[in-house]
Amino acid sequence: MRYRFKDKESGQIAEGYTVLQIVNFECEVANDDTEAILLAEKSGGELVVEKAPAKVLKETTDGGTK
Amino acid sequence: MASSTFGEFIKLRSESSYNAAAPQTASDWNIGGNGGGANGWFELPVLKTAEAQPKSPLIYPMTKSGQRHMNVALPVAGSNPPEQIGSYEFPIYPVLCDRIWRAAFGTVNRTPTAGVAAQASTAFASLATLTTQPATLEVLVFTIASSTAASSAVINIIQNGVTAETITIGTNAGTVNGVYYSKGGYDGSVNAVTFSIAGTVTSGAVTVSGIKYSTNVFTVGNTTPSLVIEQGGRVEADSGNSEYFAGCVIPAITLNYARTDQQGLLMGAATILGQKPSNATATTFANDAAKYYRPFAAWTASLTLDGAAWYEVQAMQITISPRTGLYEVSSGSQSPYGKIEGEFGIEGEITLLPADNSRFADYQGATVRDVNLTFTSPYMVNASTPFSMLLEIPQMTFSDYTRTQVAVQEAVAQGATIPFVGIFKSDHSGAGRLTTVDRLPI
Repeated sequence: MRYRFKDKESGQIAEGYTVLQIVNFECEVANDDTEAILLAEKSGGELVVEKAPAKVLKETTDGGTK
Repeated sequence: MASSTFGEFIKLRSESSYNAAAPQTASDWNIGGNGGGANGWFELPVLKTAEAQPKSPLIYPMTKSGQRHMNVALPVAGSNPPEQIGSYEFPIYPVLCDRIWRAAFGTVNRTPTAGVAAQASTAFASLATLTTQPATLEVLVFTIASSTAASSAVINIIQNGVTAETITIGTNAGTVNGVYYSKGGYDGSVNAVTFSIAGTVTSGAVTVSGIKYSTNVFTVGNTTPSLVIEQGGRVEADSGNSEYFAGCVIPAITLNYARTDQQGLLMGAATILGQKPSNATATTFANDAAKYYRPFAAWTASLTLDGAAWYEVQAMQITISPRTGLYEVSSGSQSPYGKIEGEFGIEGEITLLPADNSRFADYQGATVRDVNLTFTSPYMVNASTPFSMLLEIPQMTFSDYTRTQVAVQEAVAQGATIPFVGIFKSDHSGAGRLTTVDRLPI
């Protein structure tokens, strides 16, 4: 999972044993690391949602599209 | 009979989890790819009278009612009581005290200010110079990627024909790749910064960038990380070994700012609670304080009260109390820490030469004041940006205004001592926060 920080290009946010290293506005967080997820969200990070690739319509032999 | 050489030092580092195994296994903080980084070692000069003192691990069972238990049963080895193992008194150094602040406050937000030093990705084995030299003092950042192995490899930072710093690289894919930092700051405007790679490097690429300085804001967090403390030089650890105290927490740290103290304007004393030490091979003590950081007795301090300069203060004792504790458990390997119910506190006492009735009126009227204490070093992190520390106590309230007299030679002035307490303020996430400006990016 990746979190994006609008106002922090690089640096570190840490609390307790949890350390988020931010590079180019983003940090990587393991899916099962609840402490890191909580810290990222508390610190203003927004989950980066990968968009599914746009579906490309192709012409079919009968003149339609699919 | 000749005495053996007496030398003593401590190092400290944050743990990745409470009382993690193999506390001795780590590299210095700047060796990010090779076992250092956020949990790497820092050398902290301490007063040599300060010792971490392990406690007895013995249990004396009571076997007969009414008798002193120590007289009726042999001791048996039991769990080690996690209790106060001592305190360390140390001068406040930038960078080197960072993990102390982390252990006290719990939360930090670091923001590096990028420099101009640059070298695009180049073969690791042939790194020799920079495309763009730093024009002011900058920390150099080496990011190594795609390397599979190295053998005893190091990056030497060379300036004016002299190797200023050597950075040790790991030996396999898991330890070679990563981010490495210089401890020192380098300005290539007069004498260019160059590099040499020693040892064998089989593959990989490295990019180099620069950081002018890092601004680190410490605020009160819900949890605090524990520390490992390496105490070197004790004969009890056996020859060539150090004592490694794992699971250490700091329930309180006291800062002593005394305008009249010529030995050290700002000193700290941390109370340490921790576990029984284990003995293992000592790490190398390189005296980073002397090599990369200047003697900081020369801090200058300035205070503001509600944003205006405050000249009345002669001395301050500030106790930062996270009130983190360790609690004993019955036996076995349970971690002896529990939920902390106490509130993080900042308390202390001010000695002042009152200018008028203002502070007395604050005391009588139970007024809160916004007090900032700034320590500034005469040494620069970068260009005109000095090493500095700013302690903000946004809602300080005074108690027990005690009138005294301050005598200097034959002159006597009216003085006063006032204990103070910091009160929680939501936009500071606590009763106080600390901002340091130094060279530490992680």
